[in-house]
Amino acid sequence: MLEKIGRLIDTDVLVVGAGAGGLWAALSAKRHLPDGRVTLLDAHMVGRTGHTAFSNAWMVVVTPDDDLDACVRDIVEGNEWVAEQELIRDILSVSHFQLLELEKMGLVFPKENRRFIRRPTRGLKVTKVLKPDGGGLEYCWRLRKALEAEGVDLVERVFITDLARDDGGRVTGALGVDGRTGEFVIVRAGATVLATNSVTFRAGFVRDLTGTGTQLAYDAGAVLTNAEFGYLRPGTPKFYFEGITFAIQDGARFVNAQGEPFMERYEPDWADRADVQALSKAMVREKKAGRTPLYLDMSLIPEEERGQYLQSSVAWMDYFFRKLGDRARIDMFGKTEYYPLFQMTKLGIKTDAACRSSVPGLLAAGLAQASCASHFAGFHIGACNGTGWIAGRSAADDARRLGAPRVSEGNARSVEAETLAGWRDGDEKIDDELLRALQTLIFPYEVSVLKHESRLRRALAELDAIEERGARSRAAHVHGFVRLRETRCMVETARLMLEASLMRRESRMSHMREDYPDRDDEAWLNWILIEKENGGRRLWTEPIATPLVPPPASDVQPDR
Amino acid sequence: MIIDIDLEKCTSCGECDPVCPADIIHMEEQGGRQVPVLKHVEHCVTCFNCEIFCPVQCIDVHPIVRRRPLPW
Ligand SMILES: Cc1cc2nc3c(=O)[nH]c(=O)nc-3n(C[C@H](O)[C@H](O)[C@H](O)COP(=O)(O)OP(=O)(O)OC[C@H]3O[C@@H](n4cnc5c(N)ncnc54)[C@H](O)[C@@H]3O)c2cc1C
Ligand code: SF4
Ligand code: SF4
Repeated sequence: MLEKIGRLIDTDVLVVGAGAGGLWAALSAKRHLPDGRVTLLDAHMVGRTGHTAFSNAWMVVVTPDDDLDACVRDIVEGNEWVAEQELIRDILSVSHFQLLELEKMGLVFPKENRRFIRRPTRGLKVTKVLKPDGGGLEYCWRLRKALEAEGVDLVERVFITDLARDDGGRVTGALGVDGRTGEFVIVRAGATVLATNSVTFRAGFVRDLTGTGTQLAYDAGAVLTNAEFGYLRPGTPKFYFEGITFAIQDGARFVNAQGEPFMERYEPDWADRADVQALSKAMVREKKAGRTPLYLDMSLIPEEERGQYLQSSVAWMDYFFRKLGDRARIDMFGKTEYYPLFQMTKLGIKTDAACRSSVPGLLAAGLAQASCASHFAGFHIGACNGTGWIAGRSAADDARRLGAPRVSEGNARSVEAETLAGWRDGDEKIDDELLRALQTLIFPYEVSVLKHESRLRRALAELDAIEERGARSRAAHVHGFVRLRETRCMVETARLMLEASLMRRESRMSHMREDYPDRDDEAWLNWILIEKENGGRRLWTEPIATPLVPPPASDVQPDR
Repeated sequence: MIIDIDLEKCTSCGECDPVCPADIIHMEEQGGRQVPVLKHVEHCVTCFNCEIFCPVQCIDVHPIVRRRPLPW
């Protein structure tokens, strides 16, 4: 009797993670399976958490007036071809419908002459973005209200530790704990969508929040990809500055220790208006040339324009600046050192264009799904919206098609025993120590930003000790247990990131190899795929399919 | 980093506990009433949710974040 082992929840579709990806997956599953049970589960409060809630929620939307093919091409080219082309097209195709749905939920998108106010976004040529009043918090809350109205069950404060699988290998739900009481929870589900975001190494501010779904999928046998790519952005540890784009439009520039603007040297066309990754790469080159510290010189911004940078439409950033008071003005417009900061990995679950993973019953949405390797400002949420809708639709189909799910008692019992032992007589500080060791290993630019074979190998060797210590550790309470599980996921992710980075012998987007500085389309229009194998892992390459946007080489006409 | 809750102003409504995405604020019985108790404050992500959603503005989050290793 599963009920005797823990709290048992039965559902047709389970969605884990209530950010943009999960909120949309749950709504879509319910719309496609109106008589079925759909459950949205999160480790925290639905509508108030995830990166989504703390974002501006700028989103890519393709309206009927836009050229869809041109937008697909834009995103694929912006990704230097590391993109699932058909999925990108399908994401963009539903984006306008989703925008209208959000409006129906009461979310307000500013308009002028009855048309949405949209603007271009860094690094994309034709694709436009827009954002709702109230940013991510309002976006998440409106979606939560819609889910409640449509009869989706919400389960909060449950942290998933394992996926359940039947004898045939199909995923049949998930197992976890109540993050407050430690109660063991079993969810039996016809289809399971992971929408838990990708992995951060707690990069600071709200990017201290991370997700473990990619690890859960990997442990259940799913194929992962994009481990070698990351999200880099220029930043300062003093405050989270979202307004760099606007500041640059108003005259701000990155300068080096000598006060020289340096972006034109590396990006003659875009200069400081280049994408955050290009800015980060240029910063590293200045560092190599011995011209640090680097600053964002805002001195050219007129006094009367400055106030707008010290406020934000995102509530938490606005509070931050207000509380900093005069300090904010001094830091922002004075000499504050900027760095290329590694924010998170792009490791995601590899799926088909219907968001199905390689394991039956398991789907992925949001940033836990590997749609592409760079999301620009606006295609993070854009991709989450679309993959959420698509994954929810496929999950509804799968729940119908795959029949009743089975969770074995033996499996549930052994996971429960392991879970409960995870916070018996453990160490209060172990998680913080492991995390610090991991950050000290990964954050140096010579490991995660500018890579080289010898340094990657050294980092891998050092990671072994951290991993070993993590595997032996137990927490002192359930809070520590959740943190420790998250840290272990980070350690495993770091390993995949280092190994895939060693394998990709070229430089492409955020993956920058000092020993292979050029992009190599001939050899590397490939995914690096990863799956668990015999206690270890297998990494291999597969060509990236290009059914819609031909590979770059074919743009060059052969000389006849 | 969350710094202070003014328990004299606090009405014990409990709003701040669930909105915390880092599990820092726990409503607990103290002196015959439910009060918000801070735990593991070093894991606060400085998201201001508790302060934003407290109906009587008795929470003070400071704009301080823990330093982490820099790239150089
Ligand atoms: C400050 C900031 C501003 C941003 N602004 C923009 C922007 O304007 N436009 C844009 O496109 N992008 C923006 N982004 C990026 C964007 O917010 C994210 O990429 C996107 O929200 C990710 O959504 P998601 O659904 O994949 O994950 P999330 O929103 O992070 O949701 C994942 C959820 O999964 C839960 N979870 C994870 N693991 C488990 C588990 N094991 N058990 C239970 N629950 C779990 C988490 O609690 C979380 O709620 C911004 C990001 C930040 C930090
Ligand atoms: S600021 Fe955010 S993370 Fe910190 S205690 Fe308040 S709600 Fe929790
Ligand atoms: S939200 Fe404010 S008033 Fe309500 S319990 Fe928390 S601190 Fe007290």
